[in-house]
Amino acid sequence: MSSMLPEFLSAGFMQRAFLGGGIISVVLAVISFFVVLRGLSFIGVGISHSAFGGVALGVLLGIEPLWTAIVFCLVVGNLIVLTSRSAHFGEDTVIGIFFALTMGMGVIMLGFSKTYVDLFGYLFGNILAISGGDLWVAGGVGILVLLSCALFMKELLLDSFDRDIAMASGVPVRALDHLLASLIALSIVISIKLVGIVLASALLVIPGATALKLTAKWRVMLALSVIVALLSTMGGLVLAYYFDLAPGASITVAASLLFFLSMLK
Amino acid sequence: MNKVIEIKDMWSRYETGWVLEAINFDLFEKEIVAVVGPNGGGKSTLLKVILGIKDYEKGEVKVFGKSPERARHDIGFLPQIATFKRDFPVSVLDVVLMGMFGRIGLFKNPSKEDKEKARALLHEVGMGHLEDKPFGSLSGGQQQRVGMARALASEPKLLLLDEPATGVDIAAQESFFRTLENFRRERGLSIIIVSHDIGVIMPLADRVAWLNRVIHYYGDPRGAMEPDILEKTFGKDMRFLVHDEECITCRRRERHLL
Repeated sequence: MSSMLPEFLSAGFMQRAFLGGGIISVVLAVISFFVVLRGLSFIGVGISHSAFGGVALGVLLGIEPLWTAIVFCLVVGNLIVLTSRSAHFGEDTVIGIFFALTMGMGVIMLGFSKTYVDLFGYLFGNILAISGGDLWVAGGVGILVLLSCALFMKELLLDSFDRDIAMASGVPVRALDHLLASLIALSIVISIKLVGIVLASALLVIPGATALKLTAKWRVMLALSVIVALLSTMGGLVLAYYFDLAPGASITVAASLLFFLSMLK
Repeated sequence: MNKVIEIKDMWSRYETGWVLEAINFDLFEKEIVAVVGPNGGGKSTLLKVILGIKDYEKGEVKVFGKSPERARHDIGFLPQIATFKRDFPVSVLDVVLMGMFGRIGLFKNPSKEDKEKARALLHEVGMGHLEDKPFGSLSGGQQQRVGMARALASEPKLLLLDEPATGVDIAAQESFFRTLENFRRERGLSIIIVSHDIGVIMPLADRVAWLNRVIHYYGDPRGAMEPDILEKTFGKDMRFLVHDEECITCRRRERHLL
């Protein structure tokens, strides 16, 4: 059976990398669809960088960093939504503050930790080290995110199209803000293994933005977003294997190239 | 005739201060009322209060005898077309279907019958041939008609239109208002039109309200052009262009509305 696979898939860690990368890409592509339609790119950056604080908390407390990052990102994502609603400042100001605060807290917490941490892996991804357990977490979180999007698709779409019309139709827009921030947070945490904290926001934006350049139909945009994310991840991993490159960075560069190609249309 | 809206001594504010003060306003069945005033005068806020999407601090607001939130499904709303994102990837038919989302409810999708109904509405506003076109590719006048079909998709008894003439050329405006008048006649709709442009909607309205934070005048359009009332609403730096019997546009509009 293994002889039928291409060379780059012969090793178990590469098979896990492709499977994990595939799952995470589909989830990020769907979230990217909403991030681009609603102009939430900076929220993505804010939440993904707050994951650094979550990872550092896990390291300090001796808990699996993935779990503390999930809690941390969920709290920060929802705090951003709450604070931007009540504060006098714009959303970008609030995100900018949380972005700096959580990164700063992360550095301080890591300073107190005596444990060795593969910081580079968290910041820029280490998909080749993805374990069977990580795959289960990515799969479980992925199903939760995709199911939530499918259940509230028409409400999320209407809210993205025109908030006043959505409110006038009785759509619970505030609850949807929290739902989407939570889904972005969950997607970011599972993508840390793939592209890392610093590059996670790229896959939250580029697949959706590329797809929007290519079509004016939302269903096609959603499908294209998934295709772009999968092509970027698979292409990036193959390039990383043959040219001995960092996989997370190769995936991000591959996605960016697809975006610039779509600009030629 | 029954009252559709009854507002008594209503006050509403944003963080910057009061935008609506001591508002008394009513609307009867099958009536068209124009709410006119300068930008920032509280016109859109008044619509939002009636829609139940903006809180008010004091007073009473009843829509069909209920609170605005409970009357939502009886109200159709057409926001300013300028607020639509032009690159949003939806077709004309998608936009009309969005008008049914509130009635369809959570966890359900539009049915085949809903789609047929949406197509029929598009035909009614003269946009049936464009159902598969991207909404963002339409002209302002076409988007306005599609928006109208969307607003009517929930089968409302009350229609609220926010600056429907903005971004639409004169010919499209006239045709749009003619369609609106037909809807009032055929469907028995009550309509509120908000505008900063006096000339556009005066010939259509049964009553006009001059609004600039407070309502300075509410009544027959013929009594609305008193200089002191207009000065209170729009300020002192206001010039009027009065159309005489040679005004082609006025005559054309009167003919359409007959």
